[in-house]
Amino acid sequence: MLKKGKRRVAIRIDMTPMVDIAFLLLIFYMSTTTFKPPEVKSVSLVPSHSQVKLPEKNIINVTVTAEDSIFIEYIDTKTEIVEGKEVTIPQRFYRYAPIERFNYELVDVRRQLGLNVELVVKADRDASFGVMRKLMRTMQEVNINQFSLVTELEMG
Amino acid sequence: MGAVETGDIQARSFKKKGLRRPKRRIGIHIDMTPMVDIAFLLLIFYMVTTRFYTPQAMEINLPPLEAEDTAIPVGKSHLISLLVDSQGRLFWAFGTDKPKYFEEERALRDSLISWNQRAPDRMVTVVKIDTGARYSRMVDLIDEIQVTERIFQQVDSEYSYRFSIVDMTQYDLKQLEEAKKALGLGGEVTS
Repeated sequence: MLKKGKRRVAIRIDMTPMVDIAFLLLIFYMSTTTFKPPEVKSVSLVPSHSQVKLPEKNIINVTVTAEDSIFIEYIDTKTEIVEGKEVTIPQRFYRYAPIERFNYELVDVRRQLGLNVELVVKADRDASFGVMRKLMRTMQEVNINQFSLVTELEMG
Repeated sequence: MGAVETGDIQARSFKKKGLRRPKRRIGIHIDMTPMVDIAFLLLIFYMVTTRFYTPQAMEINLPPLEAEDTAIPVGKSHLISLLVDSQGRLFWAFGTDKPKYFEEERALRDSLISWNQRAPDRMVTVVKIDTGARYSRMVDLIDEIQVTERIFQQVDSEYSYRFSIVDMTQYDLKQLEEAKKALGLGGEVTS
């Protein structure tokens, strides 16, 4: 006896809705993604329950690494002449500011950016309290009495 | 790839002269597979690489330096001290009591609440951390204080937790050493 030949059924699936959704998601992800700016040093943040949004503009970012070295990071506009026109280009600057010189560097950066910039301190969880205490003391000395600590949201 | 099928080109006879020619219908079939492949590839890339990164800020207010010397009288019974030694161990004391080891730190929030309930608007908490301790200990303590503040604010929206971060004195260090000796905990104090 002959085996019955398999019947081939031509299946056609309309892929249009799937493709629509795929593109929708694609466009969503493409438009919402902003790549993380390069960091001087990677820092593992301390968890906390604080839910205050971090200021994003007009900030001086102070990074304290696990080895207690301090970096000041800020965005300043630079004026350049492109094709005969003056163009201001925002540019990211980094400075290494050891604690003995932190005072001087901070004042210098503040002079460049103006006084209404906020200070954001991003410290590694393994940084010592000693260096943070000196940092806070320096801020008091230059009359910065409010700053934000960057933390990671902890649940529970 | 993109195959164009020509439809019925056979011109239908024009029934009436002078009328526009009926549009020729051409069935176009484009193979969309490669496009969909690329779309999915990109989609998967973005989905995998996207992390909704939302760092949180903890706002810290520092007292102006001039104000640091102004003594604020605090009643002995209204003072809570939280002390952290160089090993990161937490001790606590009421008023001028000897510091006691706070073993179960998970219970700190509950303890803060019950201590403050005695006189919510008069209690002052002083946080003293050894310079050798890790900075994360400071955030841990401030965090618990802020959570406690929020809990009290549910009752009284005007409430603000009074606390301050103070340097350790030699006296505190000696007290801590004694407390540790009594408990049999080792460890040198760095500062």
